[in-house]
Amino acid sequence: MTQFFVDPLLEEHAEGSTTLSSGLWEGDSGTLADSSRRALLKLIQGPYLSSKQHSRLWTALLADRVQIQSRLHDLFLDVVIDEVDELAFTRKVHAPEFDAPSALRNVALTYADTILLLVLRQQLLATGGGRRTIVSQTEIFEQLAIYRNSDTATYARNLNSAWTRMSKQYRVIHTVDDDRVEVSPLVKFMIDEERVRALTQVYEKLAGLDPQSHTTADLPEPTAESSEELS
Amino acid sequence: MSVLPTALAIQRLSGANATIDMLRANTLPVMAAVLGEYFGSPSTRVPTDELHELIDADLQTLREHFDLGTQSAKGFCDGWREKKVIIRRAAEGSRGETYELSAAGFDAIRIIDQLITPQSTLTESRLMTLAQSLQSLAIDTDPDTSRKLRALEQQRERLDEEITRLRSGEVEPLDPRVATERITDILLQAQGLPADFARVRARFEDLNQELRVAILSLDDHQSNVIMEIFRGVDLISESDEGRTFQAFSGLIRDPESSAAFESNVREILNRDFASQLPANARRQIRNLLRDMKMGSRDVQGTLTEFARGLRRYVRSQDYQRDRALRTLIQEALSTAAPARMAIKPFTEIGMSIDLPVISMSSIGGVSPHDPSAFDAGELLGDAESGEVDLAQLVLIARESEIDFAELSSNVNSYLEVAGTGSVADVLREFPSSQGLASVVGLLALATRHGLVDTDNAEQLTWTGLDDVTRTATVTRHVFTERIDL
Repeated sequence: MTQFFVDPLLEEHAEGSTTLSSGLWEGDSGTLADSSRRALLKLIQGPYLSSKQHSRLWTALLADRVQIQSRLHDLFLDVVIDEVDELAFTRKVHAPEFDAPSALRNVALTYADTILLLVLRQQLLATGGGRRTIVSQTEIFEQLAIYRNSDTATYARNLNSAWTRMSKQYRVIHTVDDDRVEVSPLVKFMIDEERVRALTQVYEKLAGLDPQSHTTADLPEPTAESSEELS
Repeated sequence: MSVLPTALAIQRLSGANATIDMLRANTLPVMAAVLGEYFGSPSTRVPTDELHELIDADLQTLREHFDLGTQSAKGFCDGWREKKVIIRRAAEGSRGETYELSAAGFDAIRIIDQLITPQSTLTESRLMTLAQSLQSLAIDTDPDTSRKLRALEQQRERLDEEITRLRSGEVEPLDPRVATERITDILLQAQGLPADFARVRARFEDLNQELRVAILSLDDHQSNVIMEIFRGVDLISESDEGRTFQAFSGLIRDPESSAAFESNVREILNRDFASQLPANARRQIRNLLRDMKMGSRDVQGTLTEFARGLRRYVRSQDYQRDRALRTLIQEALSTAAPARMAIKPFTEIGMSIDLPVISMSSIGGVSPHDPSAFDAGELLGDAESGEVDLAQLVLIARESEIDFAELSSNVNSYLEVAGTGSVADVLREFPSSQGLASVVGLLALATRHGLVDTDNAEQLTWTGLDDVTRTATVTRHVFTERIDL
């Protein structure tokens, strides 16, 4: 094992940090506390960190969010923390004035992917209330039957492979048992308003329609989560 | 002439009423025995996989006496869910789901219980309660107060007489036969509790869902729902069912009345007549309050959770964004329909998405190549491709952690579409998720459940866990029917 020479200047510098770690191993020059580092690693590994599955890491993230965000900024990443669903994940820094490289995996979506994602997003809307969304593959496929444009067998195969991608590659559905899956809250962030509008325009172009003016709803400014609890 | 409409109404009921359907089912003996065993007490929830295991164990003995076909516990549970006898729900705090008995299921099981142990339902105690209820209702609804006065005076006279008798020591405690009858009556009422809790809970869930739908719908009539929730009104607790439940649960939580309840139970169980009761009846009485407390706490928790969720939803104004999004999604999905004719489902439509996942690979993870470790001595000749010994394969498959559940579901989905398919076909449609292990698993399944076509060989292609693509030429194995593991 190589012995690292520790620069005393570095150590001095580290003392200014809010979360000074006591050195987890000999020659450790990291400055975050142990659990904060684990939270940072989980965020980088993805797809998300949730309080349900990693309550200790979730607490560490909330307590040390400034430091963890700063480490992620070093990688051109930002952290999104959703305190309602209690989950956090990374995304590319959104900075129009700066050309940031993207560290994240970018995947191209097929037509089947997009209609499936839209329907899954619809299911998330219908559940609400902080409850988990569990849906049946059969029912979802029934909903998608109207988008069939080939023989039934081929179409079923196409849907199946999109379904497998959702589960294995994108990891936005988790199998509960053979016909049922839990829809990950991540879908909320993947399919937001902007994306739905963009999809509508893509579909219109494909269908040879002129993109029309769209329903615009007056949206309230996002408000801070009211933390008062009346009971 | 009211026979016909009643007959028609009852005909409509069977087929639409889960309790009646359950009582008419051929599998009733097994269904009622199994469900009564595992869901006897109120608010019991069992993780789905745990229940499947329990029932599978029971089925082994049951099959010797009942003709149950080859259905597994899971198959039975699916059927019961469709019959609305049990309910599946997301487990709290863990991935996975739990089963619980529905109100209809409770009712059916209670009816059977009562038929198995016949009760003289029209007992003296039942009649007394009835007569007393009638009398007090008559008095309480009488506009003429003189009658109420007279009734109270009569009551006082009766009490005075009884006091005098007690003082002179000429009193007999209740005849044991009558006492047993009365306790049986109490038990009968208690058996109805789980069904009541299940019903109340299901009703609150429906209400919650209705309110959420009301909030999202663009109908202006709903705006006062939003206003009320915003003001902090708990609409579910304020509903008729909610009020009834709150009164009940308040009574149970009241320390004074629950202490009195407990001490009464203790005393009754110490009486001579109670020692004659069967053990499970004694247990039921002993746990009566606990069961009621648990059931009510459970429902109360649901209520609180719903109310908090609705309030937060409305106050954070998320619902407005959700409303807009709902409209936008509907719009997108309706334009997607005409677009389908222009492309294939698997065509990329020029939109990509960032997955919040970084794939990292580092030179640090690589072990340096040590040539001496790879000194294999003699040069190797090209190996002849030989026949794979399938028995050997099956043995390997059995010893490794192959995900057979996934593989057979892949095979089944393929067959649903195509009717039959070879191992290569299935592998093409559902690429191997465990490298070689998936291929071995498929072949093992095919030798057990499929046909071997010794005249033909086919090429199998898969990507190993090391991301290297490999091929093998193997005797053609064909799947012809569904695999039920």
